[in-house]
Amino acid sequence: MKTIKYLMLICLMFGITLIPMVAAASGAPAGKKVITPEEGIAALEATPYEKKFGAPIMPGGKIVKTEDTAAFYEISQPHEKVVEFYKEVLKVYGDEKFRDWKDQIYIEDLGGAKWHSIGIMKGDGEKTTVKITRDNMTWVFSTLIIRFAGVFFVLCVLWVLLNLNSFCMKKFFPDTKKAAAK
Amino acid sequence: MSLNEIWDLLIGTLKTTGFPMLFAAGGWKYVIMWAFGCFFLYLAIVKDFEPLLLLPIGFGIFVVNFPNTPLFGFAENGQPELLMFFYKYGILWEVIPCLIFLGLGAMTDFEPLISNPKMLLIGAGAQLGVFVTFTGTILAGFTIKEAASVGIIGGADGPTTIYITAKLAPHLLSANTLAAYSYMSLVPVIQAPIMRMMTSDKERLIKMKIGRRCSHTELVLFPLICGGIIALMVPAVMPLMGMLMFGNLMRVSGVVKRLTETASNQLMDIVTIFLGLSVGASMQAHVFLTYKPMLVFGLGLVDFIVCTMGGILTVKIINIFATNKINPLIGNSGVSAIPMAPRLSQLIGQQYDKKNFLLMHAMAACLAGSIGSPAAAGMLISMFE
Repeated sequence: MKTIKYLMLICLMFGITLIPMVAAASGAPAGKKVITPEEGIAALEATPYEKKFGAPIMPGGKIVKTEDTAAFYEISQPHEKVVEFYKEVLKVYGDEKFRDWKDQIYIEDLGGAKWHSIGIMKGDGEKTTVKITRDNMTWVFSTLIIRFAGVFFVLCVLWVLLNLNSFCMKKFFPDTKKAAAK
Repeated sequence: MSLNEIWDLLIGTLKTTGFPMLFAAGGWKYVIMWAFGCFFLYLAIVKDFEPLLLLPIGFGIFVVNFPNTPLFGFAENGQPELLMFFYKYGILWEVIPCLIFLGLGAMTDFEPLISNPKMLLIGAGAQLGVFVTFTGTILAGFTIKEAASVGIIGGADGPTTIYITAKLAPHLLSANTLAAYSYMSLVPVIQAPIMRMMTSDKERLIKMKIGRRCSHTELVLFPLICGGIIALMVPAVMPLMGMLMFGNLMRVSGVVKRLTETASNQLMDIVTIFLGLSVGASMQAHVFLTYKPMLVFGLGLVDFIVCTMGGILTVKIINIFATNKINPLIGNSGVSAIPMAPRLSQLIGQQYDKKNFLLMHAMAACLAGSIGSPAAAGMLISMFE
């Protein structure tokens, strides 16, 4: 019975940690205008790209689609060349993580840049699509939740093992009882 | 010797003193830092707030903020100057935080936690402050890595704060460390009103059952089990936790009494001197008097408050389910400010019932915090490093 209660408690704790995640993932905050792709493209073309997202764009790149938090551009260069370009250009930032995923090279900014990630898609031959995602709080919240839940998880594993250890001690080493009797 | 030579000699000598820079533009910053240093010395000497740390930190701040002092820079041949030497090899190389954990392990009796493992949840709940701080720090314009390092302040775990900051945001080391130790020393001032505010009279009178005594085998197994779990799940923080568990193993094994005594007394004292002086010395005016360190102090305070509230809230949630109720006054000890936080739980508990002894229960929560805080730090390091 007691174990069930504690399991419920752990579930509750995890549930609490999920609240901000749900809030963050529930879309744009109320009242914030959602930009249509057409409006976004028009806005991007009217202002320098770097000013809009703060991310470098390869010369010759053409914006094909834009969303509220992300923009896509195409460039007539092979994938490797685009990756090389970004490796060179992003040296000035210093806090970038490059990850080789199945469908893209994913570059994540851990510094203070306005953009959060740059995804260089694979498999388009001589044409490469690049996705630039703006910095967003969803990622921040997710990080926090993983951390908070992770701490609970680590300590819960420890808790389970300590209980197990204490059970074994009581069962197999009777000196525990004697010590308690003192 | 001509008059010109004498004049040159005098001017040359004058230039080596601190006066020209003190009266030059920006000289006022030194004066502010002296005041800072003296404030910490005042807290340590007059108020007796965490004097073992605040006294060397205060003196470090004071002494390094005089122009032309060869203390915290590099000599012409590239050799680090005295306090820079301590700082570089002790803190930037992360030796001192690990040695402090070794001493802490050798001093600490984990029995209250082993006999009552559900206290581990309080240590985890007290990590709540990071939600507010991390978000606030990012909104204030800090980078993700800086936010991660600031977020750990609320755990009131000095060595872990140093460890994670040296890895993720070394330029914030002095501000973060000082904030963490300052709030640790201000536990009675910050936590007491929150504890009173969040608990009812009835809750404060809850008497907790005395934990069972653990066998020697159980005590010896604890550092191995705990160390093993942390090593598997958050290996990034193993230098800290490994030392903590090694120190504790030395203590509970009972076969290396001399080593245990050295680790918990002499070594701890030596390391504390180096830590305090070098952290204080890293607070040079031109580094410290910028907006980021100032914000760190503000956000760190919020972090500490929310962490305290998180601990108390966790106890209240546990009490909904538990048959043996926990006194929420020990929730504040979920932050790892040993021994100030458990002492405060005991003190406030006894104000309401002289026969209520909360110290050992609060110690268990505090020990859970001292495991939870490095675990949290390890997760951040593995995410961002």
